[in-house]
Amino acid sequence: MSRKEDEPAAPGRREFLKGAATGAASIAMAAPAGAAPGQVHDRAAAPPTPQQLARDAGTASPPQIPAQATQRPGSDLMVQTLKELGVEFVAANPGSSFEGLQESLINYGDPRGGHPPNSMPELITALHEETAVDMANGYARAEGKPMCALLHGTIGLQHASMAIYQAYYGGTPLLLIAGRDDGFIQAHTANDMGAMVRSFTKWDAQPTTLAGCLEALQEAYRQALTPPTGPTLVVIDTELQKQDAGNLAIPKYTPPTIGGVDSTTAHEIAEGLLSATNPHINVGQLRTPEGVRNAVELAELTGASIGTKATSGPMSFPQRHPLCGPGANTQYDFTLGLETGPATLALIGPRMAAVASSRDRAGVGFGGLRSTAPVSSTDGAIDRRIAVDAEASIPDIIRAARRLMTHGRRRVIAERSLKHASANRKATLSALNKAIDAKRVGWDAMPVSTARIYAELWPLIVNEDWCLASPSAFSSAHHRELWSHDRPHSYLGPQGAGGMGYGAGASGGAALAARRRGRIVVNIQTDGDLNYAPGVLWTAVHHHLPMLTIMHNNRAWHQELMFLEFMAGARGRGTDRASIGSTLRDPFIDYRKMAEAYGMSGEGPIENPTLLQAAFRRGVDAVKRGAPYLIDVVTQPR
Amino acid sequence: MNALRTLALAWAVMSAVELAVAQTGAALNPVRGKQLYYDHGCYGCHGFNGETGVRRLVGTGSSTLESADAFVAFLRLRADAKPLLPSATMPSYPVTALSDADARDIYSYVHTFVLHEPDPKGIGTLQSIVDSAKAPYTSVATAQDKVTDAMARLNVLLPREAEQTLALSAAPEHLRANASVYVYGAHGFERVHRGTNGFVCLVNRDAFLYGDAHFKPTCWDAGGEATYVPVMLKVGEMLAARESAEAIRTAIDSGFESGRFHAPDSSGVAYMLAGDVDLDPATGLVRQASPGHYMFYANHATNAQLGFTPDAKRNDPTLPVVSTAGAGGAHGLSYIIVVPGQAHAHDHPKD
Repeated sequence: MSRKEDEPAAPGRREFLKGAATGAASIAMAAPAGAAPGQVHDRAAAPPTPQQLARDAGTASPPQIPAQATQRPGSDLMVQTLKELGVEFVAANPGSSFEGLQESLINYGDPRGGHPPNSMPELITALHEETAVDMANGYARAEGKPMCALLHGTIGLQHASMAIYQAYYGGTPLLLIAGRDDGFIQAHTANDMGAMVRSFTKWDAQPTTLAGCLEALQEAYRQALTPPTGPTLVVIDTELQKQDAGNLAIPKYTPPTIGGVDSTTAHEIAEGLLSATNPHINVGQLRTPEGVRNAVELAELTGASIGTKATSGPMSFPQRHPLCGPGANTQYDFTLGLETGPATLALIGPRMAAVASSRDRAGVGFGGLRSTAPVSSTDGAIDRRIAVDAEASIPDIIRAARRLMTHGRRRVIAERSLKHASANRKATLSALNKAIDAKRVGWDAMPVSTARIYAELWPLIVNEDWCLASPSAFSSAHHRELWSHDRPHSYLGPQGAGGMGYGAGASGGAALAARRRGRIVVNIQTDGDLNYAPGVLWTAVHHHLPMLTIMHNNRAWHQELMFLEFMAGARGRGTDRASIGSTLRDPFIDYRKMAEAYGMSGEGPIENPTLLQAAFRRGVDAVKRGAPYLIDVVTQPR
Repeated sequence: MNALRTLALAWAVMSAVELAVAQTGAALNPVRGKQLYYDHGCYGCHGFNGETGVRRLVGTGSSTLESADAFVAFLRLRADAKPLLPSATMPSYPVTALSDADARDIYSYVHTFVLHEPDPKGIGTLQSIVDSAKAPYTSVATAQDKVTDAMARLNVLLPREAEQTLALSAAPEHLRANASVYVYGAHGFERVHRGTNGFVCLVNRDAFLYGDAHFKPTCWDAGGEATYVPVMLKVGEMLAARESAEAIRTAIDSGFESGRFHAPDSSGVAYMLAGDVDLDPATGLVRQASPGHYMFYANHATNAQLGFTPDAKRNDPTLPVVSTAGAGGAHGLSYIIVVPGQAHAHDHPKD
């Protein structure tokens, strides 16, 4: 990386290394000065020297540095920038390409002037880069804003790549930073680092100046939050982290301007809702808790009955709100869709598939994001679709509705709302009784039925501010029928791209968000999924995360077992070998002991359902005290 | 109950075997069938007991399970009759993949399955789910919303003299004149009177940290001035600066970790004789929200030591209780709370 002439000179990696007392870290393969992105090095494929690997392996001393490296390290400004953006956490597995930034994260900016580490943002120790990104994913889904994952050059970024891909597919806003050290281990650097993940990030930059770096962090944050929301990446050269900032000031941050409907359309929608005899609003996944609050305000203002997707993912309408349900009359004469249908008129903002092709310069052509992908929308029938962000539109619709409100309309709406509330309450209780009638089958089954897990847990958390952070499809999603999803973060939804190894990491991130918000996080954890990156259990203990993990331990990658059984059966070759490669037996894994190894309290394996309630009570009590807890429940397959 | 269930199971096994023998003339082996059910992964879709999974086996009235012959014919159907049109769900089983004898043994095991449908009214868990759904809906407020709301309610400036009077009202009368007093201002608490008796009084505003929005006029002794008071002053400073609850908690935690704050190493007392106080922002009136009480420093004390139980407290609200809820509570700034003058009042009704 070249440095602009007008930047203050600072000791670089190579200068540091020249002074190294050990002499162990000499540079054998320094990049050509001024190498531009895309330029291929003649010796790019050369492996790291034994000395270089020794340094990374911890068997060599770090290089000596001057007694006063810098007065005002550039990385301090990077931390201040993150702080001003409101980034609460930076999850990282340590890497030499971001030593400067890591040092600033732990030592800069303590507003109290004391000795403890900086806590805004707080550095979270991840045991795998994939987990760092999954944690950011879970946090963002719960809060509707990014946290940061800090990744080592090339290798850390590649470890993280699947989790980034999931966030991209799921449209989750993340702020990713990758370190780049062109003067050290060549295998850990690249000309154009972002190219490795460009096809599945929304935006990336590799700034060449410190000022540009601060601007890039702000732009990355802004881009992540601008629909279509998604992960963004800033690659930061190690020299920029160490550079003295001099008098450089942090640029003023401007939040994204997210356009909503124009005033004419807002008026039209408001009039549609107010003049209809029986209006209905279908609320999909909005972006933030503020959006949910506004949707509630719009519903209460207009007395519309509401459809919700709160049982499918975060940021939708509270399920037990009196207006939520089919209402007293299901013949709707005007239906507004907010990021979903069916609807007479739906506001649906840009989704990642719409922009994916412009980012996929490598031509990977990810299925589902291609222009030729089969349409598999769950939006339902929409008479008129307006391509505009729904959440940004709601305040204008509310204002228009207030202007159009009359005394007569207010009276009609009050009467209608009461009728809806009564009908919805009946419908809710009827559906619940029907669900209970179904769930009682197998109630006493051993191993434990998945329905009983959800049923036994619910009374223990119903009065808590809870968040189900793990995907629930594999455990048959009984919460959808038995629980009530009334907060923006009640259920965080599926993985994004169906990738495994996600549940515990995302739950850890959601628990970061929960830790200081009086909230507890539930992780119904499938066994196969946990084994990809179980180190997050240690992270949860280390950072005192309120995360209750209940193992849905069916001792298999069970979906694959069923697929394999069908395949073998279709070919007429029998299903008696389908367990090979798709089950976790011989030996069974003891997850309580796994938790114990990471320092987490827990119990199990439990096969007897009568033991569940007491175990769950202990678990809930523990997480309410800030101590993560794991309960290994051996379950029926589904 | 278990004995009855075992008996029912045994009867079902016998019935299945007898049924199969009657139909085929060959004795079937449900024990062997159980192993085959597991080995062939039947449990994958039908559950280990036939009651769960994507397609349960019991209680469905399926004609496929009416006889061993029907069962075997069903398994063969796709392989033999429609080999090119395999089912999209149930695998096909030609005789080369599963012999007739094996299939019949699986059938005999499947016939041991018993449908258990306990009455939901007899299951407390299920009833409590229904009961909770009947509870009136209040709002979508999150715990965070409540904390934010409480902070806003506590971050108000009272008239200086009123604040001073309210602070001193926490102390016994004989201590008030010579106690130090802090009042809450735009930058947090500031001392307005330096006392001589070692007691320090202020209207504490840390309640938002434990989901409460009451003002807490409190007077600490000299030991408390060195331990509890610096933490409460820090809370006030950050509350006035509109820092987040999270930042405040972090500052407190960090203060203890660095040694800036510490718990008392001896016993002592804080008076809250005015109890908790509510402020009506519309009228400016204050209202006592809980009875006055004593609070004794209780680092390391537990409710178990006091013989405290929630049920006992419900029956006798005057019982002492350990509280660790306030700022620094997790670091030893805890109290044993005692409500004076009302103990066992119910034993001495007024005439």
